[in-house]
Amino acid sequence: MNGMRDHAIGALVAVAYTALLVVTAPELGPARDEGFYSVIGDRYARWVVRVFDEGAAALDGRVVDRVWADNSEHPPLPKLLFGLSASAVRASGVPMSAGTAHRLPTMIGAGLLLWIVYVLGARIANRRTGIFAAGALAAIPHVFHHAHLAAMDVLVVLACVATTYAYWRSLERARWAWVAGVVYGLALLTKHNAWFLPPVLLVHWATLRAAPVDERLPASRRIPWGIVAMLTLGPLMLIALWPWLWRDTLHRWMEYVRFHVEHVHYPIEYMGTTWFEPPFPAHYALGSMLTTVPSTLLVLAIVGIVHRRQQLVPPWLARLLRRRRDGEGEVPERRRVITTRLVHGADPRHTDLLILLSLLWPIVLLSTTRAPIFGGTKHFLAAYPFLALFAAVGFLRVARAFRGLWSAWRGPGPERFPDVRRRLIETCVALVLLAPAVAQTAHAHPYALAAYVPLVGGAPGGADLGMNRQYWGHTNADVLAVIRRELPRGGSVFPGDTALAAWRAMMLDGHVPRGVLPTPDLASADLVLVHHEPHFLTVDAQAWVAHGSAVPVAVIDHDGVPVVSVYARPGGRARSAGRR
Amino acid sequence: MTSAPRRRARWPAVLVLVAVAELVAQLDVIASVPGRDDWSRAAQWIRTASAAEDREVRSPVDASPLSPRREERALVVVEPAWAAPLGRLALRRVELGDTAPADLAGRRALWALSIRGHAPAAMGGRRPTEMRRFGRVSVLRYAIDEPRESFDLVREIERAQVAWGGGSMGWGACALRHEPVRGGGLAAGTMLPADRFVCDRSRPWLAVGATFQQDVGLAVRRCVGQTAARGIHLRARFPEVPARGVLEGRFGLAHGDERLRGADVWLEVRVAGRLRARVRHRDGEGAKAFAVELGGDAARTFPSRGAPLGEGAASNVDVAIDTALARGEGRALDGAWRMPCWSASVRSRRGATRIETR
Repeated sequence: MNGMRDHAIGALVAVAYTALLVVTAPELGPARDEGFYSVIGDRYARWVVRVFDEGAAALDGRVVDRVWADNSEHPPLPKLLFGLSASAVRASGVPMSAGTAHRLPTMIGAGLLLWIVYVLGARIANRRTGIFAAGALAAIPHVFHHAHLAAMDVLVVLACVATTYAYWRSLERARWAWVAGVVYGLALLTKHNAWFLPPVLLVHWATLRAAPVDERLPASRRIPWGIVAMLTLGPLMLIALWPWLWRDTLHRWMEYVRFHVEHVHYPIEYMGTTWFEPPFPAHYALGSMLTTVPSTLLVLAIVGIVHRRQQLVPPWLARLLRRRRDGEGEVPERRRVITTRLVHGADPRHTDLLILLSLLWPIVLLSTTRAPIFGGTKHFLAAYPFLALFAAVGFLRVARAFRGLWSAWRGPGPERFPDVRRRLIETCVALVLLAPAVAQTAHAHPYALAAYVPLVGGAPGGADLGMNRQYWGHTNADVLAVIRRELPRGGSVFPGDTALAAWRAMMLDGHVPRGVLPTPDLASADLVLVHHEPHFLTVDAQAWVAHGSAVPVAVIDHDGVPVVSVYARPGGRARSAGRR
Repeated sequence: MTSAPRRRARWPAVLVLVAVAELVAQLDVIASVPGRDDWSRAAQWIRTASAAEDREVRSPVDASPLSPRREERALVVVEPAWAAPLGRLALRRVELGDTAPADLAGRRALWALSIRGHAPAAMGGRRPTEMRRFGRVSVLRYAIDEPRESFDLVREIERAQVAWGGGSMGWGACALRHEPVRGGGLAAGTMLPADRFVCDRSRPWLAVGATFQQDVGLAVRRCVGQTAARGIHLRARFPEVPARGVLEGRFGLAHGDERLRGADVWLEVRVAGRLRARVRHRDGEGAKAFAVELGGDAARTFPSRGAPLGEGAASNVDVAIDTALARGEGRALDGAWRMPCWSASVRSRRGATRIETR
């Protein structure tokens, strides 16, 4: 019954967050890759419909290859969901733009992610932990940003967190191993990041296995069935459900692997340097996290980790270390008490350790390998759900301290409605602790990638540090107002870093005025957009040369940090063209 | 996660203060953002003040056609550089020659539109001679003692004689034309202007013109884009360059081009027909500097029609800058041509303060 209630609350959280994302989605212009994924997703979805209509004809090898060769460097599930979503919304007559309809699976996925985080928090501690963890995750500005996009990043985080949850449950109930296997298959069908999940679970399982026999989980669970299922069902599902791999499987599989092993690197600014290729700074992930995750949440997470430090070390390891340090002789009484407590109250699943490993693994991976960093925080977004869980533990610690303060202030004696008082205190503390994150996210949208925490001076402080302001050219919401003002009777726009496919998506949704067309020819465009990143100063300079002037007609900024400049061609159709 | 042992510590309550402090800091960040009106008022002040200074220092001799043009002008920069688009928007009029100059040679003063307490790095911590605040935007003025500039080859490129050929080919003239500007985008690299020298209609890429280039350090510089082609020399010749002081310059390739690891590029400086400097640029080296003392060439010069530097009659000398692609040096990219960009000017002495426009 409790479990059902947990899921009901989780579902409520998921629906609320999804609704918030849907409402705020139109403010966020389509990002570069969204345009590609939406077009390809529509193609995939049409094929699925064709399978139902035509049967075997649609399954002909050549037909399958023709459809699924597009963007075969990434697994198909997210794109298929984007396409099916748009198709379903269109068919249902729901008043929703095509852009938002394509994004809907990610937004629902983000809601589901909060659901799982809530349930995980509720299972490992209590509902307050779950609620706070879900709220903290939802209110991280970069999470909120990526939760909107028709891209794979939030969906693969969802799939990996769900797999981790299922693996964790499988340590107690073997039937969850099947769930872990199936969910991991979906993770592999979402993005290649999923391939990096088993090592961290294997390390965790190794700590369970290393425990003395009498401290281990029951014998039936000594084999990591969850991981076994993942490593067998997962790849099988990938091949079975990815039509591109149905023919010439080995060769295409190798192509897929090669693409990611030899992935090109795109430039990204970090700490005053634009990084074009590895080796990247080892502190990239940590530095990005410190400057973009609201500081209160980070401090709470640290408090949470410190608070749970004893649970983070497997009892057998703690005992071993102490024996080594104290020698084989008599163990001091104080240490014996600690050791006894550790063993006695130990969690046989080493849950804290699993969460810590899951938090650190994406960061360690990015910090120690040649993995791409061009997408900023999205490359280690998988760490954030676990960060939020530790932040929730920190919150409980703060709430408890406040309850203590209240009791001390009030003095001894009976109290009316103690539960109400406790809940009131906890609610107030939670609201205050989440307020900075909520405020930052609300203020940053739709420029979350340009936003940095107040600790470093906000967006201007981030710019001073030489941090990235954007990528994928999605920051067009306010640019559209400039375009409407400048080109009331139509004209051409050089869309800068916004891909033509993304621009077309804006046109289809009616965001771009009729008669305003994108052009790849900067020199002849009536308006030129430059999405500010240091390496795009080249495009600024081209506009200066083409127009004979270095003065833009508009600059879109976030907290005084330029995000997009708009130049008008002298003699062109823009209203400001003749004024300079 | 099992339940943690009970503790009585109350210090975690302090974290609420951390949250409140973060919230207040967030509000402070928002409140500290300069308004567009602050930018406009500061820019208006600079426009007025620097125009008045220009009128004061302008002398009759400066007006002669071959005199140092526009020397002793002030330069306006925006600090920090990331705010430059807002500064240019507020200034409303920024001449291309004053956008991203390579250094401060010939500048009388430096004005900075500054926010967040930033000062121009080129001033190396010196105190401004004047400072005014307009809301959140400050105007700083620095009087500077830079080498005087008598001839900026970039500014004079449209008066140059441009030719192509070399070796057994002989030399053909390149004509200054007004051609359509096409293309653009990150992959396009350096773009040549509409007014450019075109050498061969069948090879439209063989051209010369004043432009901007973002080098491998991502700094943008005003410069002359001059094709370096395999087997062809392209020459920009300036027949009447003041023969006193030093010819100092830099040349390089667009950062995207340099990353391609293509063939090396040569730049040669000839003074009065004599080869005086030969610089080889290898990809990854960034903008390379070159300098040629011009004093020793006075014997091969001819009388000037003007009076450079306002110091009486002087001699001028013929300066030619050639570009070419190194033969057989192709690496990953073995194309027929590349587009280096050079900047150079004659100044009274070496050591002008460089500006990195990013």
